[in-house]
Amino acid sequence: MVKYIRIAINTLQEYFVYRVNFFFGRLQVFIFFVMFFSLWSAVSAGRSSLGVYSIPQIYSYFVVGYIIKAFVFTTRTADIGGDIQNGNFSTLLIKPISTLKYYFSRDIIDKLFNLFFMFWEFILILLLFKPELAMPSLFNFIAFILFLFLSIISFFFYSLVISFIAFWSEDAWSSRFLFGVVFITIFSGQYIPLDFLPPVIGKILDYTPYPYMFYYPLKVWLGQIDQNMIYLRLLNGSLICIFFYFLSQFMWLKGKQKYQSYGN
Amino acid sequence: MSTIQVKNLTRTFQIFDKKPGLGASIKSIFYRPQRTVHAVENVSFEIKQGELVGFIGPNGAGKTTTLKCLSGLLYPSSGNISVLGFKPSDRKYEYLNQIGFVMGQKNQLWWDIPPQETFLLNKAIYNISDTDYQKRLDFFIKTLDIGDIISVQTKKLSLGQRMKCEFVAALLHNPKVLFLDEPTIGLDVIAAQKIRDFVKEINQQFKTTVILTSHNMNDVKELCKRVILIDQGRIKFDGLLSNLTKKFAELKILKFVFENKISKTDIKKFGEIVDGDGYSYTIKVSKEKYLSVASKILTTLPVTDLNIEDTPIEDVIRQVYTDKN
Repeated sequence: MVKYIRIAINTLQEYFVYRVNFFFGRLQVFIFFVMFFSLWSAVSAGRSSLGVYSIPQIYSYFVVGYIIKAFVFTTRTADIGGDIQNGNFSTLLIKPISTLKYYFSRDIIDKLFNLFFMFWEFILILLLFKPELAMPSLFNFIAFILFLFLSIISFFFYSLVISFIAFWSEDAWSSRFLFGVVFITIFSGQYIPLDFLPPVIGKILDYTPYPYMFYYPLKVWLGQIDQNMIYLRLLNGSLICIFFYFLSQFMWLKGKQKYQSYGN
Repeated sequence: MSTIQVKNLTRTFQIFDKKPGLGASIKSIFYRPQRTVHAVENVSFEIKQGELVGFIGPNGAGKTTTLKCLSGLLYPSSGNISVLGFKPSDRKYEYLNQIGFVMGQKNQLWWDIPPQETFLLNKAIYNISDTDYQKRLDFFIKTLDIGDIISVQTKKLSLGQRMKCEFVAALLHNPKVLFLDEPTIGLDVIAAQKIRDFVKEINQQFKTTVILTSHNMNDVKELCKRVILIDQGRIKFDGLLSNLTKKFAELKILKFVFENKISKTDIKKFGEIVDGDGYSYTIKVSKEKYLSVASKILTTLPVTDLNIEDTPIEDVIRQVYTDKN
């Protein structure tokens, strides 16, 4: 355990090296919210709802969604594909550490780092814009936290699976871009809530992991899923998580036999 | 019992040869004929504990591939490897805890933070006690003279400084087996010498088994009694470095100094001139004839000094590489 805490500490130290990156990263969050509130206050002028969403729910969808994005979809596992292709992965493989835990330690610190600063930024934004947000019941809040936890784990293994494609294919970045960026952004509901899409697409997406990582947690927050459905979605989310765990383990076992350790 | 046992090791890679030009690139989207390359073929050897063995050969000979198979980075295509009683490709923690690997062209130090942070991480990874860590770090700092650089960001260090720190990171846990892949590549003569002295010291002091690959013959000459010469994936020689010269060198080097100026034509008839300014000459003569040639020159020309040497190891290896023997 000590070794993984040390990996997390070193990761944290890396973040503090680039002060300008750090500053601009935080500024980017602030600019997003300024733009978001300006746009949506214009769009929602004179309206009380948009589709099945009230205006406070729309605000909540994107504001809480932004937190989920920062917390779930930030990952260092995206580096693995490149490291496999250029052989830098070797420096990790010769050490008595678990590759999975190594990246998970880095991810956790990444998420905590984001969460810590986002908390203060969030307070500042609430004070500045005073948006009316939809808040969940205690039950929904607990279910939301469970969903968030599942999303983090599911996305971690999902991202590992994408990265491990590099053991077999030299096109590590194209698969990362398609499955790790395009599919995640569109099919998880980050651009627009999935119930704005034709129902048939929503039904198809139910059989993919994407809505479980972003859309359903938000629907739970907004209280738009009944209790029985929450249990069912949580069960589905857990199965997805287990599926990607086993798939990533299988790919790891097979992939390390294919590893070519390019370069001297 | 040997620390390292390798029996009939073969490692193949699938290679795709792309013809030059845009047309060939477009064609390669649809069709990529593969061929199998034997990076290492039927290689067998054994290394005892505390030995320092040089693995030499031209580029692409299979040296690094062998080292990667020994460390568990690559799975062998066939054959058996045992290092410290373990099968390296199993990558068991008990095994990885006992090996160190310095790759001359790969960084294991964290790039953005000082080397001391990587050292602390390795302390945690290898479960090194506080006392051992401090004792070893002090030893490395003193031996490698790195006291003032371990707190500087890795990326701001020179290549030589970084290599020294790479050694520390690879050796903090006092590995029983150390793999060194081109450890002095790109280093100036002083830094390279420092690294060589250091390897010698840890080999003697801790009885660390060391396998070294290097194109720098000074590394091999100064450090390795035994060498394994590999070419095109096959072992061409395995034995004492001194025997390599005996086995492969066909020539002896004779160096003469004369009282008067002697013309090149007078010397040419005795052997191939390597160097000469009239007052001194260096010539190459076959092993069978060198005694009679030396005697003839001594009796016919005004010699003031004579020196007989073996062919430099670099030349011997070059001969083996180019298959002239």
